[in-house]
Amino acid sequence: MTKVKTNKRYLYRHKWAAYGMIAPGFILLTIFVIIPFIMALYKSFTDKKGVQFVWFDNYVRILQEDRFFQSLGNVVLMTLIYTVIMVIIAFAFSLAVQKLSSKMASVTKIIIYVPFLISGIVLSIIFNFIFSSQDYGLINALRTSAGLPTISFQKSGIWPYFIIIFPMLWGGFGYNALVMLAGLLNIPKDYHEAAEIDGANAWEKLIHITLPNMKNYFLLIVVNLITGGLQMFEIPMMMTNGGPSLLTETGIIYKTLTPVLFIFQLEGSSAITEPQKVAGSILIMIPIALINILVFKVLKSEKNNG
Amino acid sequence: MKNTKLLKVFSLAILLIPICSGCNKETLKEPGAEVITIYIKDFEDWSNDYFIDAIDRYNDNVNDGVEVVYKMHDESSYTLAVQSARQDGDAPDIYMVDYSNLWQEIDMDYILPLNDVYDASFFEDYTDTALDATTFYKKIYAVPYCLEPSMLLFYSKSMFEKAGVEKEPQTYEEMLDTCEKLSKVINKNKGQDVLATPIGVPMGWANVGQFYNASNGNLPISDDWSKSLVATDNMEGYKTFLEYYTSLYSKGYASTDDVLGGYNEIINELCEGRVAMTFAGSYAVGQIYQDYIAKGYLDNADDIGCCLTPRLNQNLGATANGGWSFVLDSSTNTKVATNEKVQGKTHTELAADFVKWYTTDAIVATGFFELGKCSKQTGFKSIQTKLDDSQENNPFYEVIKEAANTAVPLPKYPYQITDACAQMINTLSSAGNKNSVEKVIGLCHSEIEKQIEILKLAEPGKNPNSND
Repeated sequence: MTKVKTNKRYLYRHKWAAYGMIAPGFILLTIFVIIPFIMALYKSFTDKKGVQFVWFDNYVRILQEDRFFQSLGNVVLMTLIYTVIMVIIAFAFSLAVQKLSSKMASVTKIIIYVPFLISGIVLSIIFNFIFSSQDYGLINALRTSAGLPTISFQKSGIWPYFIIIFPMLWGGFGYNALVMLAGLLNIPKDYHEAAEIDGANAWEKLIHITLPNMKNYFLLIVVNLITGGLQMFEIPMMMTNGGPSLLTETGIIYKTLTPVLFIFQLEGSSAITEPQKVAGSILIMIPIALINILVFKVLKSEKNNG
Repeated sequence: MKNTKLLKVFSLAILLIPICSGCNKETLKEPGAEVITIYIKDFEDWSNDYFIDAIDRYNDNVNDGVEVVYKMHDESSYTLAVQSARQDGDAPDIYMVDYSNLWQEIDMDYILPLNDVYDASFFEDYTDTALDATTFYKKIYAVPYCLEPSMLLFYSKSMFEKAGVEKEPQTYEEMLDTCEKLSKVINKNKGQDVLATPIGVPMGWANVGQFYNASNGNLPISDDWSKSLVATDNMEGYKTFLEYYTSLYSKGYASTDDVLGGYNEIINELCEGRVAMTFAGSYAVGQIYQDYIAKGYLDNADDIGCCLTPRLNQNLGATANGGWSFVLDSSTNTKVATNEKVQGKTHTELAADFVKWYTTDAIVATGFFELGKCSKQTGFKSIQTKLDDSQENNPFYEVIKEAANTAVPLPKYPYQITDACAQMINTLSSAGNKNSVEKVIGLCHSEIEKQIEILKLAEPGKNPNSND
């Protein structure tokens, strides 16, 4: 093959226009993200008055907080459960919608998308009315009227996890199902027709045609779910506020505390200085960023393979 | 074409909104007056309205060269607003701090000691509890705005009568007996409970007084903050208290889940008939009058009674004094007035004048507490004397006054210690708990020892009550 020599001047003839288009975004990003981040990084190395350089003292102080590690463990567990369930139900539902008539599919799509438009705070208020153990809690009111004992959804057993994950699933289900549906509709019908002629049954078509063709959609959704899940805040705050909490041999454990909620709670703590709070935010950012980088690496390698 | 024009006008209007909002300049009653800024926290409506009106009255004198300008922020943004203003070099001259957070402001050198700002006679008028709450390292740093006992028992008189309860419960045994009697007359099928209690973060600070009472006036840590007393000196008292208090949950008298609105609005449960009794801070009295009686939502206002929290030691208070104070920002010292009528005076002096006027003026200060039916208590003896005369018909006054005067101040040590104590209640009342009371007290003891080490509480200069 002969290499075609390109004229550099010709190749970059629109560079000033390109710079011009990048500039507004870059300037805004610099002012509102990069500069504040550098300032925050600097502050995290200073003493409580922001004057003296204390190196990693603030980071060490945050690492002494049991809640820091607990919150990471909690969020990874909840994100894992949430992501697996969401992918399965969104995919199953999109397969079902695909079989519906176009009119029914349109109505269904609108109905399932509506919860996605509701903010996390409003979602939490709705589900608080459902899961509260007080007299206005829908489920407990029904149980009481049926002569059954009430359930403390905020405190007993696995319920605290459930009342956080369930509203998240309900809120995000519509969006993810629609993305899956878009992926399904993108698979050329010829593939399935050819497989049918070859005698493939529904299961074989799903395994050998649908799933491989949906790979990139799955990756997109998994990345979104993991990124969003690791930063969950308003629903845990409103539903359980990080609790229930218990005294144990190793200290106080907070079963549903998440990293962002931990940082939020630090804000109200008089025992933690401002630079320590900033250090905490940066520390929390590191594992979240690492997990995301890992997922993107997988995504990139999968794309290269594909 | 017409549509495009309309769209352009609309877009321009949208763009101008943020620009115009930045142009919103305060208009002063006295042009050119020296402006003293005060950041106030958003409390109950009646309290906010009174405060704003008082500032307006202070500014009525348009020849004194001074004008007070306020900014109000709600609970979620208040601390952040003060911090942001300070970062911008525009800290308010006066702001409000709750007693438990005063230490942090002092530790950061954000606020001024007031010993050189006011005469000694001003501080002599402080009540003992107010003096205790505002004194750090032997200096006074704040002017008390109000004191609020964090835990009283409110109850329905008619429910007591129906259940055959003849007197207000004052001991643990009497409280459990009252609960038992009430449990037989409440309507569980309609979700009615016997009692509502503080849950979550308020469980910690609302129960400080209960732990204090049960341990004969001890705090969970030693006076020098070097060791935990939980499993040593306080063991027996804490054990008795925890056995009593957690049985309120285990016997089904109270729910372990929080009520709508949390502890701040827990009185609604009683006023709306969802419980027969509730623990609540003294601020609940203001809510009863302003939110229910004044609006006609409570048919029988006399039905609600109030008494001190049932306690182990009848000679000691069983509540903590929460509340808010005014502080002067340390930057006020360097701001010198330029208005010719007050030229040369510092903002410290001008701000101090306003705070003194608001908290001790016979008409302004008594008017504030009277409006709230003394749900908040004054920190000044002279004002309390005046209120004693005017509150003869207030059925809650004597109870709140007694609670405030016998209350322990909210602790000056970090909240982690208070939280560890609250976790004993949480753990013992959690579903499926298999730990004994002694075991949980031991766990709390270890947790507090750990926090003392992490927070370096025993180091010199940490304890504001010490002589270091």
